[in-house]
Amino acid sequence: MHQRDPGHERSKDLVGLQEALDLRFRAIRSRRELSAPGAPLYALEHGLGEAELADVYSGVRAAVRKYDVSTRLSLPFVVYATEIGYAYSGDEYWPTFEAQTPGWDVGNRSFIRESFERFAEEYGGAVPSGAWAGQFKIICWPITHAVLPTDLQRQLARLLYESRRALTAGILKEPGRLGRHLAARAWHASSRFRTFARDTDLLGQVAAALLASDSEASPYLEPAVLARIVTDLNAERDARSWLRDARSTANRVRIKGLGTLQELTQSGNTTGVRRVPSIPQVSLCLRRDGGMWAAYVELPELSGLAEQFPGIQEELASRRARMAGSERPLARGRLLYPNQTVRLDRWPAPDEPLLSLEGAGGDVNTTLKDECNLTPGPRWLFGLRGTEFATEVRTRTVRPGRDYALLSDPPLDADLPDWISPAQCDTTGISAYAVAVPATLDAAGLDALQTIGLSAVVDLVARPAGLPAARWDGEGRAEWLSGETPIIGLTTTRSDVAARCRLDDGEPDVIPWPQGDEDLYLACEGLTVGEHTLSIELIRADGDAVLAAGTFELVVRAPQLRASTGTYREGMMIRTTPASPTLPELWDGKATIEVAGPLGVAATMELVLTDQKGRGLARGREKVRLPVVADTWPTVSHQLKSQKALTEKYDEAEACELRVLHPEVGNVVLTCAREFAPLRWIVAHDRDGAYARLVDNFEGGVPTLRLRPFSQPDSALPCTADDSQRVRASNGGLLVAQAGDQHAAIILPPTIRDFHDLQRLTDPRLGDTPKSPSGVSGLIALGASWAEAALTGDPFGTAQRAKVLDAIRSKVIHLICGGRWHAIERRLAAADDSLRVNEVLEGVGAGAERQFVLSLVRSIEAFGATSRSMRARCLSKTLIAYGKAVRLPRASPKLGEFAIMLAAAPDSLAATPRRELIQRLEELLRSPVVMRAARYVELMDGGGAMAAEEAA
Amino acid sequence: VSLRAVQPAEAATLTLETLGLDPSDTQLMGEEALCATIRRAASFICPTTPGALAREVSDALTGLPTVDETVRGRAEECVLTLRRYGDLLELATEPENRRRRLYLGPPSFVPTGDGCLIVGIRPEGAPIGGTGLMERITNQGHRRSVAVCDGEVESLLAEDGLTEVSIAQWLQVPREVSSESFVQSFRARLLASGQVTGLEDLRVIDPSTSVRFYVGRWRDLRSDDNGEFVARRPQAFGADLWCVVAVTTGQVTHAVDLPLDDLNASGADQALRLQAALDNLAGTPQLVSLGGDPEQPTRTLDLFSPVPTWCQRKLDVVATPEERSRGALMSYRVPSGALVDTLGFLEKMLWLVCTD
Repeated sequence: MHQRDPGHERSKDLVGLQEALDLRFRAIRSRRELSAPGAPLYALEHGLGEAELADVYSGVRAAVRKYDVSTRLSLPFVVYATEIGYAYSGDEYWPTFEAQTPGWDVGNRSFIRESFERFAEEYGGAVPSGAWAGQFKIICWPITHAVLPTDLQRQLARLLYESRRALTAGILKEPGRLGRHLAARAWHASSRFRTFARDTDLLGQVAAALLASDSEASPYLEPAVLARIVTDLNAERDARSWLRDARSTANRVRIKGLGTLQELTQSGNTTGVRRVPSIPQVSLCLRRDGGMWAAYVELPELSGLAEQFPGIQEELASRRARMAGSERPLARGRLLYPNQTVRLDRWPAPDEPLLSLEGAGGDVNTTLKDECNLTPGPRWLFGLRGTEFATEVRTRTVRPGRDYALLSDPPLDADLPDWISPAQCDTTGISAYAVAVPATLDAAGLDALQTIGLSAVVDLVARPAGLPAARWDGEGRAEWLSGETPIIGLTTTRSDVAARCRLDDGEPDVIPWPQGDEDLYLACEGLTVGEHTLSIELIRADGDAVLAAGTFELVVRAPQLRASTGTYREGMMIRTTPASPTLPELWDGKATIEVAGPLGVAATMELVLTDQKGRGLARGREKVRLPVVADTWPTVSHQLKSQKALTEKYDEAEACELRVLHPEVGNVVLTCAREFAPLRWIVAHDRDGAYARLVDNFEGGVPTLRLRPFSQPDSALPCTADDSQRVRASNGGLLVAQAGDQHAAIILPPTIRDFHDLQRLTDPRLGDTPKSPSGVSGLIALGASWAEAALTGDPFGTAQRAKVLDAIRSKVIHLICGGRWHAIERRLAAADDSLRVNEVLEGVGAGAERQFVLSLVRSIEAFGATSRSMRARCLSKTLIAYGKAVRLPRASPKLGEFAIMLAAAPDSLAATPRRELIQRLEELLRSPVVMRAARYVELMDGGGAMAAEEAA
Repeated sequence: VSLRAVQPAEAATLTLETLGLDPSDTQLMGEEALCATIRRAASFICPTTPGALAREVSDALTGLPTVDETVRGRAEECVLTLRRYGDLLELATEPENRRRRLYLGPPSFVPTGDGCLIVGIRPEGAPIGGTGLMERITNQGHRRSVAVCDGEVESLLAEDGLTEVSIAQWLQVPREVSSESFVQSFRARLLASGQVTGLEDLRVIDPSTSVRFYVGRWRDLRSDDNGEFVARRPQAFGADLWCVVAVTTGQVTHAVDLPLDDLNASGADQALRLQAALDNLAGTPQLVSLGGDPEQPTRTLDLFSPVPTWCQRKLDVVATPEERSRGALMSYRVPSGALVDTLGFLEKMLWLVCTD
């Protein structure tokens, strides 16, 4: 299968293998230095045939059995570890390695790293980079040197296929750029692939090699490695076809020499570069509703920023975004979806960043500030499309006889012609005007336009002709895709004229107007990715006099990639919060899924669990009514996860596909995989019941294992794995593995085989806790450790955990609210019919305290506050009015929100900074009526209407 | 980078080539070119309204060879044809209103005997399939098809992610019903709807006008109008709404928006079938005309009114769209062997009368 080096001597002993591999790698290094100076070598390029590889396997295994591991003979180990890296899938590198290498000692893991480091030094071997390499300091070596592990090959082929239309000659020439280009488009791939893609140099080199034409040998990889990957890819029909089409497109791009503005500028082929946008520009539009204009911002897909700003995707995927002028934050990950339209309640101030991510570093927000901004003011012109919709005209040019809307800050002076009149605007902080340009503009009219920063184009119209543009503002700006030849149609009613045209900063061309024709067509050929300006002057055919002038902006961009989750242009689209959730996030309810689609249409939602090889393990289906929104997703999710076939296989599953299908509307798919983690529990069942197995990829020591039983959730008992690395506890509990700063926690379900087992389950009992801020904060932390642990598919485990969380909340309520209130809550929980409303109110407090609670209730009812955040605001306002009465004259403004959250889910406050946490708890312990009021509010509707708030 | 003046004919050639059509046997005003242009524009501007999509296309083509002042109307007809074919979907997706907009239909294929129909549009101007599949697709009017679906084509369809839709699922032909009972079902709904006032900008189909000239049948309400009319009224940000109205002396007394019952059913389909029923009851049934030599293996079938989705799809399966005959709204070439069944279907389902 692989090329055999002519000098290779077959040898079964490690010394012989070491020598043969040394010769082989030195030869490759010499060739590489000639073909691609500086490009690294990969251990997968060993060139050994099957027989030689078998020798390596047997030699290494024999050496391990004899404890004969030496750095002098490290090359066979490098090849051995690399081959395991190439073939393994999922997240169990070390377990796979250890299973295939009898006698291997965990303590020898660092030997593997040392061997690769030596390989890098001696032969110019690749050095892993990126955040993942920083976290997995040993595994990163064999995985990197495996070039493209088999389970990632299909995903790369698909990515190459989907990105093929965005390729340029320059990108194809530079593997580093190609890698960044692809990585920026991989945000919807599996987490393992995204991890691989973070090493953009490696990704680029592999991709460049795969896209190389048949006649051209890749300078970055040995032909045998490439042939091996292609052979493996060809084994799968889809991947083979994707790769073939991607290669074919790449060949065409190379022949045509399509590039970006920057590429051609660097090679001196053009001048006048204005901007090569990393992403399309932010767009503005107006919509009229009830006679008032409202401004909207249409955001482009921001994932393209990653091409120039690596790492920004993780931030975009994981943080909520704020848009200046809009009260509601955008959910985590929402910015990765293109064309989000956000209504502006208020016009952003000139120096205010349009977009920012909550809690992100300064660099990220600086990038967003630079890349995502509105057209500079103080005037914004909009061309009317119909009567109720208007799109921004960036060139600020108007045409006679057309209608426009104008926004201005500050307002325009009163001295305006009668065809410019004030209009109503629902977006505050900006003034709106209707501009009905007369069919004939006189000098006064032109002056008036100039005064307000607008200009007019008369006698000359420019527009995209022939092929409809990818975007057209109806006036002077249009977009095309890279590789296309825009045709601009010029129209004038004047005769005996010529057009003097200049593209960017090139020399002007005088083009005679076709005799007797109103139209002149210009083909703009070889346009590069970026923004171009076509300046047009209408001149007399017999002289130089300029009769009319205007500019036309041409934007050439790469096509956007279509994610399998669909786009907003299609009938259905899946959106997730966070973007690209992992399988546990989906299963544990930590991700929200929304499916946009036609109202009321019944679609099929299908969840397929797959194993490491992508084979289906279990399938569950539900009929859903579209759209599925944050409020309805928990119900759909619960129905799916309740299906026995899925719960039984969840723990074995490596990934899942969530499909939404409708025969006419479409078919969209979300893929979620488990993340490569240093430590991960897998729960399974055998004849003896449930057990947990630890996948240990941690490279800094042996983890310690502890179990918190359901019956005593605040105790932590040491536990050990049996000979087959299984941990068992028949009554289940919270199982935690801790090593260094890494930990993994899972709810190990109790083993329930019969009624007797069920009876064995006891309610959780917590030990004594001091009534103090630190006592309560300890309970909050305990709650978080249970709430954040991964769930398995087992319903008993889920139910037992809920009981534990209830017990912790009950304890917190008891400590803060007092025994009397706690007793009332217990009666409520037991549905005690003899309990009267007055008794509950009396339990909250008497006199001024009772007035405080009644005022809060009135406030909530007046505002129709159904969400927790609205109720928190009501509580904070009531606290301001009743601060003295409840002994908190200077209550923190955040206390309302804190109390509402503590009353509902204490564990949700675990991330509160320690000092702030203690301060809030001190306030509540000082004035327990505030907490009782928060509980009263929570009990008003059983907390039932609150779920949507968290999702939003 | 270069800027050069091109003759209108060259501009047209460049456009057709970029759309993947052969300039030597295609014209910009032909249905194939118009449909390809609409697909391209839709891939960038959906969700949108039929009017906005047609305007985008006509604005781009105006002035080029063979493109005349009817381009806007032709583009509007082609948009509706593509919606019926399934390349475009008209959907209501916003809970707060009934507005319906056009979305891209999913890439799919419908097996039809030996071959298959190709349906759907990908976003961002992307071709419906990879090179292998594109080489096998034939464009005939609005219809794209593959003549023979062998194992290789099946592989290509799967690799390119086209979903199979069975022919029964695609056609969804409604049950046969008499024109009387069909009209009666709408009358009942109209009466139950209660009195309405203030419906503005209404355009109605005039039942007294010739069924041979569909476009000419639309007009504003007149003060002497009485009876039931199929009508349309404009919607902000959405496609015009189809409705049925009862009118007394030019005033709308009752109105029912279409579609009835299912918000995502096609209002146009219900309205067009209702108009066919009304015309039949008025003694002026809509017409289908046969052209060509009866001795030849195929005949030309001309339609003068738009037909509902299920009817167009039925014709797309049994016949081949062709450049429309003079005066016709749609024309198909039908194999002689399928003629009797096809005419029977049109007569049973839409009460059409054949003028041979």
